[in-house]
Amino acid sequence: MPVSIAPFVGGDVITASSVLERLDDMEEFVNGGIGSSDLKSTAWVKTEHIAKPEFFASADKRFQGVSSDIHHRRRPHTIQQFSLFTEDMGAGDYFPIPSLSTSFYCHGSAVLDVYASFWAYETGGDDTDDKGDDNTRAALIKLFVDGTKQDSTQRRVTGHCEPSVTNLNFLEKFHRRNHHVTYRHSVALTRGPHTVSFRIQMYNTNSYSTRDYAKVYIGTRSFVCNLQYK
Amino acid sequence: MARIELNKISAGDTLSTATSSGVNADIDQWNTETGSIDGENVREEGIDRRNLANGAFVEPIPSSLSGTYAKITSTTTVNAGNIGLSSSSASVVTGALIGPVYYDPATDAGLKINVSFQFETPIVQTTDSTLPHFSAVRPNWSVQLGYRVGNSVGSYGAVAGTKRELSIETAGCANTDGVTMAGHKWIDSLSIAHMFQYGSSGAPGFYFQLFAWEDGSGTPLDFSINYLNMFATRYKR
Repeated sequence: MPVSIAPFVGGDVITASSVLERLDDMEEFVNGGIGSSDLKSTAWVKTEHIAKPEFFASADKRFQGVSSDIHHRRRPHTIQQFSLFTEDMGAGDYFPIPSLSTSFYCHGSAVLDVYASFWAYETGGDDTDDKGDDNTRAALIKLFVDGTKQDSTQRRVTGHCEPSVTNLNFLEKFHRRNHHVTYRHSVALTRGPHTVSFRIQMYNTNSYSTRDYAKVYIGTRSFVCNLQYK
Repeated sequence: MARIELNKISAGDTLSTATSSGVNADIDQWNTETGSIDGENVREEGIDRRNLANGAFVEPIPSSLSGTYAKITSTTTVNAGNIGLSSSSASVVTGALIGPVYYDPATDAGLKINVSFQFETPIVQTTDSTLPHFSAVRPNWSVQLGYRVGNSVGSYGAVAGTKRELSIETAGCANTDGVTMAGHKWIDSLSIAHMFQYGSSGAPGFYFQLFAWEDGSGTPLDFSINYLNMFATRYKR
């Protein structure tokens, strides 16, 4: 808001209180009282005035810029860095997938966009069914925001095939898929801590299939979590 | 003048009420700050994300993000044997529509469209006993984004560069292999990222619709989109 400090006029007696009153007005102005109408309207912001972006390459990999933050992860195509989930990991529970998950502090109202791709496949299960059946369901993967699953991001990991018929050997790796997910959260995030994670639910224990699945690998993956503030 | 430089008052000075000198000159410097604060008042790197106005770089965050995104959380089936980028076409993917999204090519850097979805389509039985087994009827789908200006019902223009073709040549197993593929499905996911370009200036409301159609010969197969996310981001210069 505009600052308005009363000037002294001839004949005024300058007292401590009259000086302090004016100093208080100055203090109020500089300590949070400056509004947009106090700024010069012609262009004056230069590069040196804007806080430089910061890049963090540590475990919590992120970029913190002026108008956005980006939290990112990736895993190369090496089996030592694959994540493994087994059939006995709970009945219906969802488990966060390493490198497809992050937690962060949001500095203000922000639009959340998520971009991810990951390679997933099941192997080692009971293959009495050797049809390469894509109706089978080894696992489901969904995005969770602050612990709430987002159904529009569901991806299905289907059971692998190990055919007894030689001619069908090509089907064995048919079900190894690279999945893609892009997502915008339907409400702006509020200031404070948040979690964003892809989670997996192993499927052997429910009614969708009588087939056993041994393990699901989450292989090569990329994960970008973008916060757009303004 | 934006920079404030107070007069130094020393013992023995005569206090003056003139605005050109003395304590009133200091007060006047403060009062004329309104509308004059500029780079002289801001330290280096003194402007961060909390100082910048809403909408300086991207579309301001509205109270509701509705219109900038679309979601599908259940099965949406398309059974179309022909292409038709119109709102009444059988190739419309119901629910995969966003808009109005505002973008002015004259003043904005771009409008980014992101789409991702999981799809499924049947794997069919083939009688071809020669490896690899080709099916007479096999999944051969195309998907593409269409756009239109305004919300009037009518045709969409194709968004160049967003067409994706989905086909699987070895569609299944031959009868002679002794197994059946009946009822089996091809389940996969797809994403499209596109920076939309438009020739005319102005900031009309754009609408974007996803279409899917079957290019193969014979009876079209069902093509289902189970889960979809689609959204737009306007970037300013």
